[in-house]
Amino acid sequence: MSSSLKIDGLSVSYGPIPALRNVSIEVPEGGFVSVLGSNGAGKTTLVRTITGVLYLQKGKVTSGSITRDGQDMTKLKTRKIVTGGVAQVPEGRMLFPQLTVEENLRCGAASRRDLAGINDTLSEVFDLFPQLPPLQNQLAGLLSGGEQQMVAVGRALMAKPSLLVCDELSLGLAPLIVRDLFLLLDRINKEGVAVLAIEQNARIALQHSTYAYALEVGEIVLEGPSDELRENQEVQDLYMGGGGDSREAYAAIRREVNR
Amino acid sequence: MTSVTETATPASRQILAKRTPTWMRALPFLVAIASPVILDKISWNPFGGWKLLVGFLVLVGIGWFAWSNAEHDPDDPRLSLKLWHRADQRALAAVTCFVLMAIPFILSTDWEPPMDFPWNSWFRIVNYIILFALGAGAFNLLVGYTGQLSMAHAAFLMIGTMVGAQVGLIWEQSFWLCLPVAALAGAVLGVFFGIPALRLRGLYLMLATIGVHFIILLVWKEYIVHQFGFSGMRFTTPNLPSWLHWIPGINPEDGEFLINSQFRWFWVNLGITTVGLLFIVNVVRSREGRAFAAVRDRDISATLLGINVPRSKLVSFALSSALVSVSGCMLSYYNRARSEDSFHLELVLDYGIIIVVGGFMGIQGAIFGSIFFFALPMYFEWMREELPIISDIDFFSRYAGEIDLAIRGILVVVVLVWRPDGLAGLWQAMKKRALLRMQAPRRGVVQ
Ligand SMILES: Nc1ncnc2c1ncn2[C@@H]1O[C@H](COP(=O)(O)OP(=O)(O)O)[C@@H](O)[C@H]1O
Ligand SMILES: [Mg+2]
Repeated sequence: MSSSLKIDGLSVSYGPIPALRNVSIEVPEGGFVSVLGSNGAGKTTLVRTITGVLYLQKGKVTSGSITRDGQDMTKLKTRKIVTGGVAQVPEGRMLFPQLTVEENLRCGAASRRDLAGINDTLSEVFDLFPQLPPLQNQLAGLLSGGEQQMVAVGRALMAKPSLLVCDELSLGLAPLIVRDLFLLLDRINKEGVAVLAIEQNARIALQHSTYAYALEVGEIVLEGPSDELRENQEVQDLYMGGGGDSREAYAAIRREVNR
Repeated sequence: MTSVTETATPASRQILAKRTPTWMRALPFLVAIASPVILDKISWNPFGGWKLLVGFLVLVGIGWFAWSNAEHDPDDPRLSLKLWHRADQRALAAVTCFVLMAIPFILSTDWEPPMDFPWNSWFRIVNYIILFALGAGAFNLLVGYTGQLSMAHAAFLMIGTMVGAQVGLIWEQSFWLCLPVAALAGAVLGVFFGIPALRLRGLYLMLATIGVHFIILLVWKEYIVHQFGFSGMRFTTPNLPSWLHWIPGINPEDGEFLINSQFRWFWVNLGITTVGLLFIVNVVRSREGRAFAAVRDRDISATLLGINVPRSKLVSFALSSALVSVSGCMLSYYNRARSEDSFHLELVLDYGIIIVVGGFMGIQGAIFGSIFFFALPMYFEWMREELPIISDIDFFSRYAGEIDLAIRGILVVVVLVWRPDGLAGLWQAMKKRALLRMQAPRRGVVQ
């Protein structure tokens, strides 16, 4: 299968501080890939590099390449990358708080010029998130965290991407909302959009993705099909609190308390 | 997940129902405003009063009719791109047009108004309000909408004036040519002097643009001294182009139609300001304008979405400076005389007060702010001169300027504490409440 995104031997540093070392990741066309990593592993750095905003943080690609359709993306401007079909849901949502939900969504289509097409995509996004139409004229800064994340995903979709990069979608959200969001990602993925979910929440990411990578201190330490990683003892120890199933962990705690 | 608004709307209506009605809450303010009028020896002209009353009732009738036919379809995502998509918005636009067209006729005729109001000096104020609304709207596009704090506003007024003087006085071209040239010069120089904004923001940008002000001030002084000497510029009276003489109501004398009275200036100012403000409204609602707001709110996020942030900033500088420059050119022709010290840096503060008090929301803020800024001192002056008790107190007339400034300052604070989104926010809230109340009973019948 051809790949939607191919990262090859990527190394990135902020000044003298290396943040990524020799990272290789591949997202197949229409695939759902996740990258797991704890705090400071370099997840956001990876996203910044893909979307070409590393320079804003004074970061530099020291070696390696990111290719898409055979074209190197590390030298491209962000707007070229966005027009090329890569949209990002940034960490912490980063909505425009003083704009309404609709204006936020329309901002997502900033790279497009066809008003009719934009209106159609807007209707599609509103269909995908039925919670949003009633909030259309609400200021985005006043929404709840889950609603804001939906707007953030919808805003990314407004660019009609073929690859959606999500940075810590689950950050600060209730488990039920996170589950809903990932179900939506599944739906978006079914419609042919490749998804790269960068997550600290390994459990949910492994449930929904088909292939996964584990990033630790800037390096890929583990990779494989998500089902296999889910069974992997190391992954369970590292990212799932070692207890395997949460129900089991909960039961263990109850036993402790009752004793 | 549950939808927020579906449960929230009825609840908020209940709260509304329990509240004191708006007119009752507004009563103290109305009484306060009207008290001088009541206190005054009212010279009520029955005929004038009658006409005023009928005119008022007609207006209310039009507004009520259009409003009661208002349809709202909040679910259509496309409607919000249209300028006046709701009936109440259309009605408001129509009423506004009507009022605007009535103003000059009321102010200019020798019709005896119902009260001893200084109507004629009000005409000058109305013209200033219109001219300043254009400048303030343009200022707001840059400062309020794009978030680029610029102090070079007076500088662009100077640039507009210099273009007006060069093209109109020295090259002896028509006033109507000065305006597009001023816009062009403003846009080009706006891009040039906007370059610091690519690197600086907030207070640092403010300091850099103060520098821009003084650079242009230097050019301005040199220009005036070399071209006009120490007496300064004397602008000529614009002449309406002959191909516009067919317009009804225009009767040229000796083949000329000079814009030489407040009445005639009113229409020129109103026309150009309306075009300028509608332009701003449409920019703000376009892709370009949303990019401005995105840059203001979070420029990193804007970059991520593929918005060209440096370009957006420069386009905003260009559009804003072009319109400010046009308003500067018009202000100078309207004022007739300009000298070395006609444009102070403090002028930026005046425009700042206008948009802060008016509110950063769209152009309404600029309009409400200008009215506040000009009408209030006028009103104070009238109170000082005409009111029986106040006019006897020597203190008030001796420190007139200072008292005006102090009261204006206090009112600015009051408005901002009371409504941080300014007079425009107050207006919006009142409108929303009125709409809700009008809809509530009809919805109730349906449910
Ligand atoms: N702007 C920056 N300047 C210098 N170092 C940075 C910067 N951003 C991140 N880093 C460093 O890079 C490493 C990876 O950070 P990050 O990509 O934000 O991790 P994650 O998103 O996985 O939590 C961290 O050690 C962090 O300190
Ligand atoms: Mg991160």
